[in-house]
Amino acid sequence: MGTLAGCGNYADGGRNNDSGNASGSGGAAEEGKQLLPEDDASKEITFSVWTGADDYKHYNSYAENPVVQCLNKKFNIRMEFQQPPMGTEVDNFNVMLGTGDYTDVMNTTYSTSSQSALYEDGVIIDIAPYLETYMPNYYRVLQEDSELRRLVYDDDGRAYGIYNVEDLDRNQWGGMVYRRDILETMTGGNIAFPSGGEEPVTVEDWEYMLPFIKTYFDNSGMAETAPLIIPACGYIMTGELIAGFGTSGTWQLGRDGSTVEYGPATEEFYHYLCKMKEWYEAGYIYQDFASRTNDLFYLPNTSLTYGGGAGVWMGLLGQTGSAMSLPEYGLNMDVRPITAPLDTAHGISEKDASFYIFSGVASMPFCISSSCDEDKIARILTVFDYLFSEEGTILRNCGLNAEQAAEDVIYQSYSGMEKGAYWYDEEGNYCVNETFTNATDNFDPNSFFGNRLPGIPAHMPDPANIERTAQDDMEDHAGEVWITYGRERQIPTGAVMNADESKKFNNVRTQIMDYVDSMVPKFIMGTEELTEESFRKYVEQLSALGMEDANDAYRSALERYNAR
Amino acid sequence: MNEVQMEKKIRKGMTWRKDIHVNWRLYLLAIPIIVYFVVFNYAPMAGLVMAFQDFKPTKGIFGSQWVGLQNFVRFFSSPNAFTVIRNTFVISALGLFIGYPMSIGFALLINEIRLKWFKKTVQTISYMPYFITTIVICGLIIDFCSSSGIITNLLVKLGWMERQNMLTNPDYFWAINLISDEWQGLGYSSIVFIAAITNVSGELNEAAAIDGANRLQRVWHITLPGIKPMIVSMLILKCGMLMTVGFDKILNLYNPSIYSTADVISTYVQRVGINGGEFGYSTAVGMFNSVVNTALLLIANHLSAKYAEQSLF
Amino acid sequence: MVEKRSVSRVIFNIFNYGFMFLFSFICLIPIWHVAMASISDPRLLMASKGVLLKPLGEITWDGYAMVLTNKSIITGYVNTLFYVLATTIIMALGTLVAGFLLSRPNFKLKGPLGIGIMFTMMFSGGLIPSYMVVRGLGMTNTRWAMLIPGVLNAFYIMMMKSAFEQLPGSYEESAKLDGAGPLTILFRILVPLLKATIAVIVMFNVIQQWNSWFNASIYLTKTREYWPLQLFMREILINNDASKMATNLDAEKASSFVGNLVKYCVTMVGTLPLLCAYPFAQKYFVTGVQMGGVKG
Repeated sequence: MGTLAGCGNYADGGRNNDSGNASGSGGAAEEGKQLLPEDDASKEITFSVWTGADDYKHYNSYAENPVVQCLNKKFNIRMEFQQPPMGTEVDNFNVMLGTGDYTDVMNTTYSTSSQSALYEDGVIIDIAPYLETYMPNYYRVLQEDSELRRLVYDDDGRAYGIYNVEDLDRNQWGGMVYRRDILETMTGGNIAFPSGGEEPVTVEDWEYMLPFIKTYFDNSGMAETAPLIIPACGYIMTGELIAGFGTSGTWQLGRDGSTVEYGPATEEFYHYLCKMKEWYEAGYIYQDFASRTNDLFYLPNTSLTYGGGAGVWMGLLGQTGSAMSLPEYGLNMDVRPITAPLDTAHGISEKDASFYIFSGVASMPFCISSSCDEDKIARILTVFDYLFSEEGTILRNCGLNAEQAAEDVIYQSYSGMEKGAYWYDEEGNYCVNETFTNATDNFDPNSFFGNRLPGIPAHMPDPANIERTAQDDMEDHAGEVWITYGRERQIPTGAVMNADESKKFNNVRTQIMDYVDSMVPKFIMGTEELTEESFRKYVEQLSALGMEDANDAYRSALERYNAR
Repeated sequence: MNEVQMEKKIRKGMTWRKDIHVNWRLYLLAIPIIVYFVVFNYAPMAGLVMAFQDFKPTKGIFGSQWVGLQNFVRFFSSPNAFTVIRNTFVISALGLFIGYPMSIGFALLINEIRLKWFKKTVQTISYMPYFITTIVICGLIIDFCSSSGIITNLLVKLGWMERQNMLTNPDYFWAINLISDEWQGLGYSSIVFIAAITNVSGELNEAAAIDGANRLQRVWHITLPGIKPMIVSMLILKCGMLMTVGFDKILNLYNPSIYSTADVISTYVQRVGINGGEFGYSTAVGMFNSVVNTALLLIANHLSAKYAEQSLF
Repeated sequence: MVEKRSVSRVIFNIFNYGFMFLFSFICLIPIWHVAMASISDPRLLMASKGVLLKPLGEITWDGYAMVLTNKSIITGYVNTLFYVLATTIIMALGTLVAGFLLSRPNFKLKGPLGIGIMFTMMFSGGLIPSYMVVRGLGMTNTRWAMLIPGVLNAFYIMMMKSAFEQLPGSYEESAKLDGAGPLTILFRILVPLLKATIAVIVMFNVIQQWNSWFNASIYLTKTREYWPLQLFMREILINNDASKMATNLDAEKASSFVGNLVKYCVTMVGTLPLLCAYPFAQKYFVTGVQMGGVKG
């Protein structure tokens, strides 16, 4: 791959290469000509985009983002961004809908109504007829990925969103971790898990491991310690830990794969609760877990984890290996990834376990609003489609090359970045600007890419100029361990409820979750009796609160999805 | 006949036309004020009709479906309604009956300090916690009340309770919330009374001292009556906010295992609202709050007019 | 006045001073903790628990450097100063006039106007209708959106009204005889007498405006350059929490912890100006609030 083109110019011929319009998109192009008014490329158009905000250190508005600037030049456009402050997105989106003051393009992530509902209410338009003609690259991506296609198109064959396609296997940023060094110390290096492996796999293995950790902490003289940290609600929302018991804390597919059930009402959940209660009483579980509602579930009590007072917790990639050690304070940690403990006593094997990441195959749908001028639509689609082309993918994910950077204020203003975000050396090897790796706190790498725009992930080779460290290997290893169980029992993201279903679901959802969240910690801490009888009563109460309604809502959404 | 009654009589006797003729300059001044409140407060009140709608942002106020009292019915029939109303009421009443007298007491104690610099310093420091973000304050409270926190340690040592995380025990939440509220707001809320006390006539005090009245008697017979008007008017206003509990702090402090005592109307609406974006529902609950508050305010004002011969309006 | 030194007095004093000393100490804890945390070693801070009495590890100013070099902070400071100043003037004028009107004895509109204003304390229409009004006036995404909506407040007006009513009528009687109009009476004669009450509502307004962010978050979505300080701060705080989640960028190794200081530095930067200004305003409170709150 040679040097890529600069920001170029859409008007003089840009549309004829792979970045541009429909020249090679096949038969439908002819018919497509009448779909939208002819786009006069020499005319600059302006369109507004509503999207969430980030605190980017190097500019105020996303309109100043280098990738956006580059697109502006290339396509003779001006993108204006309307970005509510973080934390007020839902309010803002609703205000925009309520007042009819729509932007031309809107990111509907924060919408409280589904895309179909938005379409029916006349807020967004159906872009399905235009995809093949105006968005050949996006169309190709959709053709290649059936799960994505089922997400993008609804039951009636309409499509509304231009999505950011996720790289699930590479994006596994967190999972359960444990302190290997404690086990080494306590066993004198002779770790012998009952299941015979190198790493703990089953509940039995964990029950071999946890007493060691507890004894270690008991003798450490530390004021506060916790062999195992669980979040305030008593289970990890994304399914780590609880997956080993064959269930989850949310709605999931039944074992047959076609029904829907609510995890906290299953028998497996009872097994999970019993085990947690047992561990809590034995002092293995963090005694204060229930009050830590302000901790992000992937950052449980950092004073414990970073202070060396935690044994097993939900950790992040960057915490693995020896990254958390503080040698100058005598704290040497060896943090290893670990899979959820398989509840073999109740016959749970690897195939029954499944974890439930919230993010689906794609996110952040950008939709065209009904108030967007028809003359602009063709150009807008072309711009977004470019982000799915090979060239656009690199621009969005890897940043600007030297030639493009020469025209960009942000790149030029930050020392070290004027060379561009990446380049190819004489042998054609991919090299990344070292500024990223040597980043200081006043440097914000995200400012230089276009990840807030829709697109697909770029699979670039490892950069030749940056050495792989042991930490990199550890993180790759962790990523593999954490996806061991797959996500077979997660309800597909594309199974979206229609207006009626989501109304039915929303009516009961809060009260069900409130009840579960308040009961689970009590069961674990023993302030609420936990027997088969009391669990049965708890499930009955869930039914009384409308659990079947919620299950039904999911089930019909799933049926429609499967029929697509 | 006192002045107020006389004044009322005079006003009643005057026709509007005559009043406008006499006070035309005042009417002219009133125009911008009236316009302001009509435009920015009364015009948006049209939004209150959302309480009777299944409000859809996409359809707006004029296009959304009317559902009558359904939103109210839903709130009162939800399993949490009784709990959250009770909790709101109790938490706020504790603030009124314990916190409010405490800020008066604190002001009286400050007033007894003779060392000027000490008095000023104490005053300055005492309102500082008021300015610290709720998140930080709540972080400290959670630390202090954890099973190995300093407050827990202290109470365990005193033998007052078993070792536990105090914030997961529903019995303790009201106390924790009240005490931490005072910690954060006592200094700030007593400013009004400190100011009021300084204005109570020094001569009276001195005369009483010469007559042999001790400090306590002087506080009881001179200072307190002197600041009575202030105490009463603040009390009336507080009664008008009895169904309002600041939710930021509770949101940061509570956890599901103590919903039974910690969940209040505003936190409940926040959870439901955020999950569903349900404007109609939250407007209905807010309206219920406003109506109760208004009723309480009117009652308090009436009682005060009757027994304390003082009213806000 | 000479204090009698009775035994009970001495005992009371010991307790009172002791209590005040203790209470001050307790009140100092949070701000001290925040100040110390903001200059602590961020990695050690992450691993610490409870109150900090001294900075952890080596003192570092990195957190402040990070906050103060943030482009938005300076913009925010300037905007906030402008909003505080401008709203204070508008608020003071409106509140004075409204309070003055409500306190005129022989004014027939007084009753309805008072009830009309009180009513706004209890009921409000909510977000969307308010937004539609502001947008209808063409104020969205302009600085006006920060200056006009919500600037007049029933609570302050009631306070002002009580203050006017407390003044003896004799002051204006003589002025009236001289043929002075209401505005002359208000600004020439009454305002100088009510300096203290005005100072109090000004201070209340300054605190309120300094901390306000919600209006901006709704009305200024296209114009970040108009945002007040608190909105930027809020964003930094929230974003800081969110970005702790490791991204897929190799560059963002968790080795950097300075972000942890941000919460504390932001708190210090955001509140220090108010904390410093407060003692100066304190002397006005001594006479101000009292006159406002009382109706004899």
